[in-house]
Amino acid sequence: METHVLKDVNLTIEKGEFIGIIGHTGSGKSTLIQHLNGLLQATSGQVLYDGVDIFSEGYDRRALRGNVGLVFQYPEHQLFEADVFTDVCFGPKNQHLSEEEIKDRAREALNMVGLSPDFDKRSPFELSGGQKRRVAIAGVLAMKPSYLILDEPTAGLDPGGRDEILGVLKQLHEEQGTSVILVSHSMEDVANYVSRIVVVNDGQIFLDDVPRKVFAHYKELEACGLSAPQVTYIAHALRERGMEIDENITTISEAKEAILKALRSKGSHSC
Amino acid sequence: MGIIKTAKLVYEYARRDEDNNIVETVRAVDNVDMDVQAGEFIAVLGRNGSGKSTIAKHLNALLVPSSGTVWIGEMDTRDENHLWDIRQTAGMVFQNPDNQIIASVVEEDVGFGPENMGIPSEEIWKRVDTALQAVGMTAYRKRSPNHLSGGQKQRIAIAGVMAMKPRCIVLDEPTAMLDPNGRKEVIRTVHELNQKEGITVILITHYMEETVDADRVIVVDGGVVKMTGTPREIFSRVEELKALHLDVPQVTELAYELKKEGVDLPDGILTIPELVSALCQ
Amino acid sequence: MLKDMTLGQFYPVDSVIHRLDPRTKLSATMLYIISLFIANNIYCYVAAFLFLVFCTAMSRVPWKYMAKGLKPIFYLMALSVIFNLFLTGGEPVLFQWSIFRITGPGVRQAFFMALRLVFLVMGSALMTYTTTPTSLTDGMEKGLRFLKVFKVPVHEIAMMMSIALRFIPILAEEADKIQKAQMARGASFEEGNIIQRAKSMIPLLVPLFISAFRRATDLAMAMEARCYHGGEGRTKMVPLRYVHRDYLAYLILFGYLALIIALRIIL
Repeated sequence: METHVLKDVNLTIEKGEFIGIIGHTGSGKSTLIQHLNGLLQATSGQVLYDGVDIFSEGYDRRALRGNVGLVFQYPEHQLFEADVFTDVCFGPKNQHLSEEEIKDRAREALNMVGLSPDFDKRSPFELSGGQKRRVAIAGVLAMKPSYLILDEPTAGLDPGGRDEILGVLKQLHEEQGTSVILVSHSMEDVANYVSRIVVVNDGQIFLDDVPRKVFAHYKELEACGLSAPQVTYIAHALRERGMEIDENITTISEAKEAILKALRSKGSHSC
Repeated sequence: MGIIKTAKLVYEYARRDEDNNIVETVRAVDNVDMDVQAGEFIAVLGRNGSGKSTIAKHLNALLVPSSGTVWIGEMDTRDENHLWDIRQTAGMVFQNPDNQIIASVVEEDVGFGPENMGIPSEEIWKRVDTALQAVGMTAYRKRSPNHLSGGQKQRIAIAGVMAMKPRCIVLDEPTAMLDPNGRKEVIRTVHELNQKEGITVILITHYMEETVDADRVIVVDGGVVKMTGTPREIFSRVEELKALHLDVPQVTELAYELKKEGVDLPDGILTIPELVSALCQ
Repeated sequence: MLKDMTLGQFYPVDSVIHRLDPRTKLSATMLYIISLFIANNIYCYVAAFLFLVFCTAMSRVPWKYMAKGLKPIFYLMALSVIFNLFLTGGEPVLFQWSIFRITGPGVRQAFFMALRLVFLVMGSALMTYTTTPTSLTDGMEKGLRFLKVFKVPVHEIAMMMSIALRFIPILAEEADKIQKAQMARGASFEEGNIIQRAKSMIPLLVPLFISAFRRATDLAMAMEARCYHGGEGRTKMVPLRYVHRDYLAYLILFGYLALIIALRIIL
């Protein structure tokens, strides 16, 4: 019997986007992203980068992997060098750059993830969990990808570590113009950062829209084993009680504004 | 005295450089006093590196205090004669589901603890049946753990502890590596065991929403107990929690923000219905 | 998928052979191998063949499945046939071309050697097809318990084997993941000469070893927390006990061995 991990996936990602790919475990989202840098080859269909099929004759997939950076889940598990700096150099070294350029890029990448030169000579294995992860992300950033894909970059981190990593990504997107593709199953994380959400279910793209429109389908999302952010449920519950409030609310600050507005216009009789 | 009690618990370890010289002494746990009554559900909350896991390991005698005392069911954990009794009284579930399952078949793994305790074979089977039933994994008993989801693996690990008939289960970040569904699955199972079997639960976590239904929350940072109280008491202190790099559930944060704007709301709202009815009196 | 990888490829049906005590099956395999080395004439091999057919029929493992086990040893077999064919001396000489010579005893030797290998592989495959890895380690632990007298840590070895069985698929999957992650950083594992290739394995092997050590530490702690303290005072969920069918199996086995010895001496 043949089983499809992915089926009929049509997806276009533009330069400079910040996208969330969401799906429950086993939905096919991890398989999907491994197609984007040619680690996996589709059984049928094509993946195009800048309009060129990445599996066409003579295509340089190694160069592609420098352009489409992929950070796996628990990336700190790939660290292998004796010190932080050398480890980050591994990617650019594989791109056959000059010694000078490699070092510049490594330092720049470490700066981006907020690790000062004090860390350069330290062993990656004695850092904290959040720091290790930042080193691993720097290892991919040092290749200067135009697109950065991250598979569950906040898994296992505490709220502080999570905010740090997501902050780095936001900064990267805003300052460097890097396209960021964030794979996650946490709607709350994603809602605060991305401008577009792709929901993957059973190997197919189930929804592809701006966050507020995606979360409007919160009942269908539940059927896919996902849930909308808690504030979305609050907004719906308030509407049911008769409060005039926008139902497509995705963040706490939006919810706060909407509720205050409703309360102020109608006083305590707003529901 | 409660089932678990710590008095002035201190744990220090030495950090050494490459030549094995002591660089510094780190105090991971600092003067922690805890008293847990039988049947309680306690959540220990703290960020990574706050010392919460180190405390957990003391409750199973995997670590013994540098100073101070830990009693499990009135046995001092430093008394080696009671080592196996202590581990039997307070079972432990760890973070990584893969690294705590020993056997290649689910039911054999659940039987591992009782085998070690020298329980007769027929009794082991009875315990395995009951334990698998308690976590709702009976249908998977002949499966290989490698084919289960993270949440299911954690339930097997919990069953493995239950088969040792403990009075208390200590769970050290059991959900940190799971997806949201797996997380809910595990927390639901633990609550059921607490309610139906009367098992005392110590849940160590950094996810706020998992502590909402606990009887008591202990917030740890830098090895020190920073706050202790009911979830409602703890969650009304939003600013303090944020200062400790901890989250609050979105509904709590929203209520807190609204209150700051002058909306008349009670402290420490924990659920959506609570907020909705408070706003729509 | 690596997740589905099983060592020994257990064939899950219920049969008399499946239900035999693993110790019985281990001894049977051992004795069968010995019998193959005692055999020195065609009658012995016929007997060995019939015995194998009998056991396979009893085990309900399909013949096709049994034959599959032979594939990996095909080259070994071909090699042994060629060596025996050309390097055995004696009379009569059947064929000669420059230094290559085939003799009557050579043909005989090559033929018997091939049979011996086929029977040996099929015989031991039958054991792994009908015994789960866990019960195999259990069987070894109990069956080899007498070695404790010679300070062999039998229980520890068996425990290590069963832990290895559980973790090999996990580590294999992890290796695959690390390899992909390093490829995403531009690593290549298939370029250059042997030294370059060996060097390119470092980014794979270092993380894999670190992970294995981390898992080992975790597992040791988890085992301790579940009161593991060695084989002393440990009970078993499924204690191994010989029953009637095991005694009967031993009877048949010794009957077979006696027959082979008799055939060798008489004929």
